[in-house]
Amino acid sequence: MTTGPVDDLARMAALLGLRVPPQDLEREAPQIRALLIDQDTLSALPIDDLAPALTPWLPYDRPSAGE
Amino acid sequence: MSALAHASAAELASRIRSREVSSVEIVEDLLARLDRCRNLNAFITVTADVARAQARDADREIAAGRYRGPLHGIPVTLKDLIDTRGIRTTCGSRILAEHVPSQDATVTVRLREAGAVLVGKAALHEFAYGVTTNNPHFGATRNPWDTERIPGGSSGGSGAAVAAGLGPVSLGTDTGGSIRIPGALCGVVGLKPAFGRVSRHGVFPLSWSLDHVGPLTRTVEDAALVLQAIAGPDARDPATLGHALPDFMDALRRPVAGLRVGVASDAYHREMTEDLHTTFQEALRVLGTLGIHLEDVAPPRSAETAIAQTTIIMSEAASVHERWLRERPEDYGPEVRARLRRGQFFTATQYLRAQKVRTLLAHEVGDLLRPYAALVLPTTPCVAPLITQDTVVIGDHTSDARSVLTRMTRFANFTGLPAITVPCGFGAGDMPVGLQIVGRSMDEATVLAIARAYEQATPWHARRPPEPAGASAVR
Repeated sequence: MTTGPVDDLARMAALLGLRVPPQDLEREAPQIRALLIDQDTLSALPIDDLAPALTPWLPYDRPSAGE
Repeated sequence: MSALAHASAAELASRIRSREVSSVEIVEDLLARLDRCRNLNAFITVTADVARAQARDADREIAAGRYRGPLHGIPVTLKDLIDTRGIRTTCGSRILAEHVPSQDATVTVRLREAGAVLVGKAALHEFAYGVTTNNPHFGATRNPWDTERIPGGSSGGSGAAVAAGLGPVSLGTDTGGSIRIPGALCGVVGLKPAFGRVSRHGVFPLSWSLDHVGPLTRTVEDAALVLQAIAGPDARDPATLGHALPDFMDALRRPVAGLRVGVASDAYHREMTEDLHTTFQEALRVLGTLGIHLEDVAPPRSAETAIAQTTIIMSEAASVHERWLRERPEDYGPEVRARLRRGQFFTATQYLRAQKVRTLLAHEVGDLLRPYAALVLPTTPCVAPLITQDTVVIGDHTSDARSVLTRMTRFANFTGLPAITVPCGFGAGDMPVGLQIVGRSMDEATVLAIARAYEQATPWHARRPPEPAGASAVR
């Protein structure tokens, strides 16, 4: 996740192939920034030696749009 | 004659089996009532023709001596993200508004094999991604206790339907509290089984590693009855493999006196409105009279759990919707579109870090619960907000309604522990309040036993919301 201002988010969105109107990106920037700050909290936890708790599950075959 | 509309599935089953009433009569009564309760907007699709045909089949089988069990001839509804062959399954979305699955979900098949009758597809928050059921495409679903308030979500149509007497059973899904929140806000029972207990094959995902399927009902007995029918291994959902299937009906009769139960009492879980606090304390007093030994405990890392779970839900949901979000973002409502977009900015490393936190929490919560049969806490920290209300005030904090409503429920998804909400009184605005009981790993049996004992000691499950204009509960 980017730490930069709205321009950085716009560049990242473009790289990801997202069509995000600039005004939407501007509106979302504070929430995305808050999520990033929260991530720092998780980094401080004693999890270095743990494996992620992924679960075995065959994904649902998503229906096609308009099917 | 007693009311059909608010009878439990078990009561209806007894009357069907004794031929006092037929499935067709129950279904016709329900369809007529449903027509009078349209203002609740609890359903996206009413399957009247299917219901009538299935009810006739049920009556014929029962008359021929082929009684399948306590769900035979009982009307059920399904949250509209559970696949039903030949019946549209919209996920509360514009994108799938015309989607007609070619196969049933595993839970749909299991209910049909038990003889249940499908009456409708219940409303939900768009793609189950939210807790209000204010749906931008199908309209807001309303709480039967006060139609200006939300029913909760995302299984809001299921909660509203069961509370309003529109079928004794509805299946919902729960990723951060979406069965238990509408259960609590609508004054009904909502059971999130343990992760792996119920197959999610054919259920549209919100977050693969956090999704659960379970029942909303009027009584704990009905929740056990439905769980018995839908639980068990399914090769198409490997998370369900390798677990023995207990007798949940037998669990209802287990004694609870002498059990040690933890009360979530850390600062995080004490944050609730005053009316909730009063109601919860009274619920604890009742549990004490049942001989349950209550001890304060502090669930670990509640704030970090919220962050990690948010990271996982947002990342997985963004992945589920990646293509549609790229190709047709305008077809999402603004709230869900914004949430999905945020999820696309997480890195794989951040997602995996959140899953490692989950491992940490699983160990720590396992240690916490080892001496206890279960943990109790309120299901939500406040009663149902108004439909127009975006924020909730608790003490001197004003918070986003969504994060407040999932505050007490999300950790059971994160850890995969079974959890139930049962009605435990009424708070501000005479709105229902839920008591949440969280069990140890794969131990729905103890959760059901405590919930049933509490329910039998209190009158709350018997209270009903106001009748809609023109509706009559007695026939």
